[in-house]
Amino acid sequence: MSDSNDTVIERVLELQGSDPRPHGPSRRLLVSDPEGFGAILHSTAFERTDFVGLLAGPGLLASDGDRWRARRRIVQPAFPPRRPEAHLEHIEWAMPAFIERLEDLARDRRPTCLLEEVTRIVGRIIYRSVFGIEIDPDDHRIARFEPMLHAAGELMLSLVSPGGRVDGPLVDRVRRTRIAADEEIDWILERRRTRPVAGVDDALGRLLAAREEGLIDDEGIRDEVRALVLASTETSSNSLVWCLRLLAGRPEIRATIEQELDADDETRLEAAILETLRLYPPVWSNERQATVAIELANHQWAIGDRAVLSVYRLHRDPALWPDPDRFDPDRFIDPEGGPRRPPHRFAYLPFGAGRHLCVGRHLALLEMNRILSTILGRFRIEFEDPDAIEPMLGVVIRAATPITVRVAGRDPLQASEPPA
Amino acid sequence: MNQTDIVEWLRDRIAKDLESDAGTVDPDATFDRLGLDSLALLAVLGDLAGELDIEIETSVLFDHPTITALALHLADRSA
Repeated sequence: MSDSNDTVIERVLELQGSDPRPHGPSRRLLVSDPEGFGAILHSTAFERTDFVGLLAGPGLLASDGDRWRARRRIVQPAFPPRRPEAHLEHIEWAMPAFIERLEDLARDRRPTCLLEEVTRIVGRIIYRSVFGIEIDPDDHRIARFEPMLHAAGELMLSLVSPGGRVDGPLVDRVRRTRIAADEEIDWILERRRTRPVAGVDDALGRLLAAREEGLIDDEGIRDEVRALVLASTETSSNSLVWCLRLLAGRPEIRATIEQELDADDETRLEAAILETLRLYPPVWSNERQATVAIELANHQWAIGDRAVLSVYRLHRDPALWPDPDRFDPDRFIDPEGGPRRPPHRFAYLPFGAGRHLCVGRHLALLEMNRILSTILGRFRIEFEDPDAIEPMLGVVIRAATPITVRVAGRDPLQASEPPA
Repeated sequence: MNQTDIVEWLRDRIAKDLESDAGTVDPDATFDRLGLDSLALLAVLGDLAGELDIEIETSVLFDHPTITALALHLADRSA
């Protein structure tokens, strides 16, 4: 049985079913095996292509070499890998308003857009933990970045699709929406200056301190903030939606998670999050460009050749993941108890690997864990029409249209209902 | 437009973007070397597509990375 949406599989296969551009000059060759991923992502002979810079400007996310090293040194300490719980305070801060909102929705039985609901809390968490400022629950500021993210996604798709056309109005839209995003960044900077949250070690605070030392200028800070938004919002919020959607289709798995949560056990919830990121890796594709001629990953690369790293296909390789389209959190649970490792060191890369391994991966996983355990522990999400969700490829795999749901309280009566 | 016209149009347009003189825009330097980032280049190509009333594939970014090469490709196609 498949738990995946066929449309998105077809579209990815159309784009990445074979080498997108098998002949030179500037070949684009498909890499979808774990050895190839590991070799290229860890090779200094390959660098980021200019695609990512197109999306949000030339920040840490888009750079290699000296700029990457300098920016990484500034931002990385705000995401301490050995202390993921450093982020917990921000998540817990945002949670009461989220619960209150879901309670209101459950009381009124009013339909709402699931993506918007989760984006609201993700936005508040990001503003506090990454930018060091607090915003009111009703202030949906993160939405001000959405036009830029959507335009950037369309542009990216036009660049990676065979036969994609230069679209002047779309390029204008990318530029205009970036200007609009920069207005919001100015607001964030002003708020950070006048009303910072005390005692928070946030990435923006570190960027501002670096500016004082002359390590980065204003435009550099804007590039980094845009990149942080790009990396932290649509990625997390859409993953939350996919997870809830997958669980709605598999009530027996949801019921097991609920029972475990009632007993303070997060084993299966954690596995369901990992499994969601396997089926719908937010960064579904990546590219790297050869800077020297080199033989690697079963190819002889010329300077300028591009490696198309299909995370989506890697995560659905039947040789690594039996029955790959099936949603099965148990893949990530050891039968002896505890988590189970992926079948290969590079078989599972929702956060990438190598130099550009996501700095916010711990924040993202903890945030998903806390938000999902709140929702699954206290509420039921009822999808109006679960099959009407149309995934679309952009910067992330996202839903093309609003996803209407109703929220219900999860009281014992409902919990004992047989799965529909 | 023939190849020469397209070369001149591109040099003018790119010079405007770079706030420099068309004479200083080397038609055989890669767009990257000219100091034009990809988004600026895409905007130039969008304008050119409008000017010539043709569709331009995004793959020209990789295939024809100089003004001369791009103009030759587009002149061939529109001929």
